[in-house]
Amino acid sequence: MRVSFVLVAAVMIVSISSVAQAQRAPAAAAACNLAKASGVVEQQLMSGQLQRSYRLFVPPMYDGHTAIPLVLDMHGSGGTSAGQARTSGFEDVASREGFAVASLQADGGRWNVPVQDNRPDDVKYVTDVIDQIATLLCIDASRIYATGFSGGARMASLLGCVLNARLAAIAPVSGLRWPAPCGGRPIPVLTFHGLADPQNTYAGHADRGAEWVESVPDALAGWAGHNGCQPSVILEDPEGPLSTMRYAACRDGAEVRMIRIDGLGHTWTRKEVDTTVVMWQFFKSHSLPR
Amino acid sequence: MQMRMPAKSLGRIVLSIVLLAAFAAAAPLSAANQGQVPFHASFATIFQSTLAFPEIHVTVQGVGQADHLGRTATFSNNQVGNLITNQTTATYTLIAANGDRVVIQDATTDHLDLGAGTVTFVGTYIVVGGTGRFAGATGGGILVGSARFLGPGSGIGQFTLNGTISSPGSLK
Repeated sequence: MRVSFVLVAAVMIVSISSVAQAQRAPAAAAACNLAKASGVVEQQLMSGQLQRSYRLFVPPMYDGHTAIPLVLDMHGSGGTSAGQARTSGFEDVASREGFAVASLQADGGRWNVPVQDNRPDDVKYVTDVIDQIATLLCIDASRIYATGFSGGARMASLLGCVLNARLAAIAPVSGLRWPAPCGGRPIPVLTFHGLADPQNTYAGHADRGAEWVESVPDALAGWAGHNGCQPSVILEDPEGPLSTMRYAACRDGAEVRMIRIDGLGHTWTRKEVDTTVVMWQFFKSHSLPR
Repeated sequence: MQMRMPAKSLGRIVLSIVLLAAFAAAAPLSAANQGQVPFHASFATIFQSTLAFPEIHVTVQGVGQADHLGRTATFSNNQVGNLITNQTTATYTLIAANGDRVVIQDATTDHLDLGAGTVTFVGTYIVVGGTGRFAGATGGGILVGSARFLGPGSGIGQFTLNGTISSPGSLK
């Protein structure tokens, strides 16, 4: 089942308004000199006339000159940036691998997706965060990635659609969506989903409102179509709790892949598969074309 | 927000333990019955890796000591790990000081800890042949090791082999 017409219309509206201001190709790499202490700091900014915040982690190896990748990490509905930082553990991986992490904070704990006109523009917020971080740190504009859990995954899906000129790849966890119609370039997509997820059910919800109807395989197929992959899905299901559903021969190497976990509920797991580690390996194998 | 160990996974771990125990218990008998002799080796290694998600391709060079070979060099240029399943396969060639070779194939399960920049691995290997005194060699055993990333695509490691090998020279 595909996404509803209402959602399509809403996304089109936000796409038109946001793409123009947000879809700027990354600027050519230039000499950078932005020293900043490593560690965690709570950043504030104004976005859409609202005071917003986010948690910024700078790795110890940041030298103030070498451009580093940036991962945008978004919490689930009702969550917080600090909670998501603990859940994903991205700051530990970033400390070792040398990238920055911005753990974003939704207004009221819920991302504005599907987009509602009377709520804050979270696409603009994310754009403003990226722009602010670029004034604080030497960020590699070709290696900015977005992930999120549950509601954050739905937001990451939307960003993959409307902000794919600035994002090198997305990896929604337990909440992939296909927010059609979606313009712009093919964008690599990796998602993780527990087959026993009672919240964002693998097969979708038939009785919970339009935004919940879409199944995860349908969302994956939507991205595969956007990325120009061969239409037939490839299922690899070896012994063990993990199986992979993927599409091959995607344009510009923009792979589309789902890691399914048998018996897993609505969780960012680091047990059956280390979601954070595998995701970072996926991220670092992709960058925006320069 | 509960996670649970899936039955498939638990069963697989139990099966692996049983198989490893069975292999270890059977090795001496097997050695006695089929001209196999104990074989132990340990190596210090350096590696280079290339990421092609979800695979990581690794080349390895190392030096160490091995029963029946003495001071031994080793290399692998076809090691492939799957970052999702954490399964790795490789062919290693062991080269004695006199040029005699032993070739093994291994399959391991890996644990990658990016926070620490380390990977540990354990699995089995089989001897698939060789040259000189080890022409036609057979055998197998357990491979255990670890590695540490020193940069984005390189690092150092070590591994040991414990098992049996056909008596050197017996199959020439």
